[in-house]
Amino acid sequence: MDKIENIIRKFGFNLVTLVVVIVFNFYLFRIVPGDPVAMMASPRMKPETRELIREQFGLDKPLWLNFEGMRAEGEISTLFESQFVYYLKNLAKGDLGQSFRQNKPVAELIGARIGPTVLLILTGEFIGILFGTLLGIISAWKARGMIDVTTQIVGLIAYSLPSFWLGIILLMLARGYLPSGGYVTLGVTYATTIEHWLDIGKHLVLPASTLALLLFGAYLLIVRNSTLEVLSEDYILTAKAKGLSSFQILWKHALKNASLPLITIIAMDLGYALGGAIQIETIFSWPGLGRLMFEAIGQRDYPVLQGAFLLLAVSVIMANFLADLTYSLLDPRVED
Amino acid sequence: MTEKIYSKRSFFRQYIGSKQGVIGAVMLLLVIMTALFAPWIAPYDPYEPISATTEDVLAPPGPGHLLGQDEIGRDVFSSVVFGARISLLVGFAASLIMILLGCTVGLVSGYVGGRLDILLMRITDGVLVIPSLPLMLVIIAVAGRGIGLIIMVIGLFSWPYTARVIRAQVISIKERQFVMRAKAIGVSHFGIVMVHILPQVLPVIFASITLDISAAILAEAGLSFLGLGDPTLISWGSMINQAFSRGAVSRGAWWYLVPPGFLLAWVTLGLNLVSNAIQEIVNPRLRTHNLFDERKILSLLGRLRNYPSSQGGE
Amino acid sequence: MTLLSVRDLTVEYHTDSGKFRAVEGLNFELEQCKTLGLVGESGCGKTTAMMALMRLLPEVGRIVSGSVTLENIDLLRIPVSEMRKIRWNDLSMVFQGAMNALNPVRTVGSQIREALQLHNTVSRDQIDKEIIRLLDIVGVSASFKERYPHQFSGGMRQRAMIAMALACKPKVLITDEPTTALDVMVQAQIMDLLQDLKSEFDLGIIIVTHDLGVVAEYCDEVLVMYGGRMVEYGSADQIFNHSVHPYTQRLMLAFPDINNPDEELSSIPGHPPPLDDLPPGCRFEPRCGVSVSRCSRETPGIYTVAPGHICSCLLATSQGSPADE
Repeated sequence: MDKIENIIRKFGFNLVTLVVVIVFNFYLFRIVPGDPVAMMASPRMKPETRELIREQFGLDKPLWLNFEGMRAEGEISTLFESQFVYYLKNLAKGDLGQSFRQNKPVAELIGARIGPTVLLILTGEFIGILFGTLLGIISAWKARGMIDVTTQIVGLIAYSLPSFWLGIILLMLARGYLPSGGYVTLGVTYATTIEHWLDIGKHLVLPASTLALLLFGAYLLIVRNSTLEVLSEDYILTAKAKGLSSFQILWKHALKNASLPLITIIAMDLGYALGGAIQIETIFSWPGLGRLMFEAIGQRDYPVLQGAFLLLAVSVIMANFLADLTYSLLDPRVED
Repeated sequence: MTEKIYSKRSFFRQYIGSKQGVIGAVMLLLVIMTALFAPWIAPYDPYEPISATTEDVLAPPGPGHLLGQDEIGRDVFSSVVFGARISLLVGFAASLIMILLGCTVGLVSGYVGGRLDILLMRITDGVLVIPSLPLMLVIIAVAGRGIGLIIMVIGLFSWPYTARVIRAQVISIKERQFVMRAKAIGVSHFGIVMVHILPQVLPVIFASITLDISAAILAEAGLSFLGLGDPTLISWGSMINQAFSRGAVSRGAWWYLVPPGFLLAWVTLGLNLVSNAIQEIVNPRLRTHNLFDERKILSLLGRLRNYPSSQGGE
Repeated sequence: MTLLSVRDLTVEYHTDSGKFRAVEGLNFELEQCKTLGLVGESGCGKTTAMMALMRLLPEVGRIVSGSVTLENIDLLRIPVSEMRKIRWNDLSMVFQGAMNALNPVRTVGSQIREALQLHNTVSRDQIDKEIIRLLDIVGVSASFKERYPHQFSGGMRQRAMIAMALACKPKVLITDEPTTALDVMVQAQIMDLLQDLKSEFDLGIIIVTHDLGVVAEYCDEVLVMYGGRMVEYGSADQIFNHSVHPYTQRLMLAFPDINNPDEELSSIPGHPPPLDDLPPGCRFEPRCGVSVSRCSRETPGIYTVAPGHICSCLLATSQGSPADE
């Protein structure tokens, strides 16, 4: 029962954070002095479109609550004819406004770009976790030996590199061997789906490796520390006394115990990974959300920025919540 | 738990003895010196308007230009040297905000405890969970670029980690003997925190500061790289942004792309080494565990022999 | 039948701050169906000696000399792979502070299963039944098989550890401080349990403890250690009622006598010798009230006081004769 109570409490907390993010996101894009319409409608749009947007988002109305309107009309419902409420209504409908640049709904643009970003993040995290954990455990096992010292140095350096710079270096080094940008080779038709995926894969190598290297350093060091602690525990001695070999002990006792803290770290660093993804997508022209945001900055495409940020923030909050849940499920000691 | 009381002398002595601590400190010192003495070290002033010929555009290293020239003919070496100033300035300034906020929240939360602690931790966790680069990105995109805003934005959204670390340390110190004694005597809360707890938290604060500075420097570099830096100032991040967007990659102009990033990595590595060294002293990491090669303990007995396995019961 | 024979066991710790000789020249034998009590102050080397038997010393430990013979096999001279087969199968141990000796994220049942599977003690389909049977023997209900260590009380954890230690039907069981950190009622239960198990499974048990009460009630033989060496060794009756070594005698005085509850307890002033700077002669001499000048110069040999009762004290010569090795 305590566990369920715990989950509800965490859910509530995440919900509150979510609300704060939504409110903040709304507010940020309305506080630029001047015509509020400028934030939602590009000067290049046709006057009719601007009017439409003004209507839809209630841009001539008060920001939070419409007190004057209520007094004038005498109806309580008019209180809620405000920009904020309109914004929420549109949000619920999935309408995030119209992109300045492309004259398409923001939601559509974002939708098209989610896939590549997810692919990049999943691949990068997976590789980073795999190598970080493996090397971290081995490093701890052979503590203070050659392997340990080397991997620690490598990890420390990886951890200290600026992600975008690393991407650029890799890009320069791999020129000629691997595609230097994009998602797929342009102008090519594929015989099979597999060919298509292989092409994507080829393009994925550099960006994913950059992200993986970025994350691997931190994961390596954390897993190493965690494993060292675990290997000093009494139950490892018991396992040894039972006659288990070092490998068996590492696999059956150390691995699970040492990787539990990693789940929390992965979730905590997800925001960081996303930041890295934005930079990496920019460098490699990877058509994901990160690159979308970068382009939007250059073109002052505020609706896109607003929408993309909201999506990113919501994703990280949800991911954190999931990681929390997973952790409490995996660690039987968590009862609070 | 052992009562670890840190004396200034022993801490300093231990730090000097730490290889990574000394290396890190030296690395940092070199860069800080470069930044301070920039006008004397750099052959040109990168802020000066320049007249250049087409030959000067993205010219490789050569006489008069140790690291070649950038897309408008400026000396890359000078830009790198002066860029150190902005990168470090933003790093230090932003980390100051982070430390002040982190310390205050950490100390108060850890010491007072109870509901205030829970509330502060909720706020801390809330800020922690929002992805920082996207957040800073949208704020600057909306509010405009400028060094002041960058410093503020980095400082305001990167403090949670420090706060948690400090809070943890305060909590562990709060219950120790010497604090209890001070309380029993009747020392005021403020006194206890300032005189008794703070000195013991200091090493952890230092370790956190170094990490904060490196995070801030990388954050500024990241923002500048995405084109959100102060347009009037040169920083390492903005250099890479210029280089990248002006086609330095396709031209293979490594002299323009590599040095600023290398220095970023250099500074960050130095800071990480310092932080590691401090953490080793404060929290010495385990040196040995249970899974070593067993033969080590038998090494003095001479060679192991296989016994004929013909006994009963085998 | 002699199960275990330890000869001239010497163990050191080689650390950055120096070499510490924790055990020197230890000799003893363990018979089947007998309980040997290994007593001494903290730091006298008893735990170190036991860890050395199983080759479970920490990385800084070094076995300098000696032999540990279990059924004609010298455990100190076989390769690791051989030792792993013998561990738990023939010789098992319940560590001091069994609180942390179980992996907190795995069920207790799974950890017992691990032992059974490793040594193929029973066939696969019998394993679950065997686990329940083992838990039952030590008085833990079967429902706890799927529970985690933190859900067990202290006494139950101790019992679970004993069950696990017996899973592979060893010949020798070592328990290090089985009663510390347990309340008196539970202590008695655990000790009685060990007694029953000893006769039921023909075990040889070594109990390492500083609790003389436990030794007096449950041990057949007693070995008293001080400063890493044996000072006296004999049957329980001989040690408790006819002790010869000054240290043993002082220990007895420090132990409350039920017939004389108001008698003042005496402690032994001073502290044990530093293990990296051991005195040349008898190690107890600085605290011994009856030493002579020879004691601080000569290391006392081993003297037979009576059949099966030996002691390491120069003054014992007046009572006994030097023991034949």
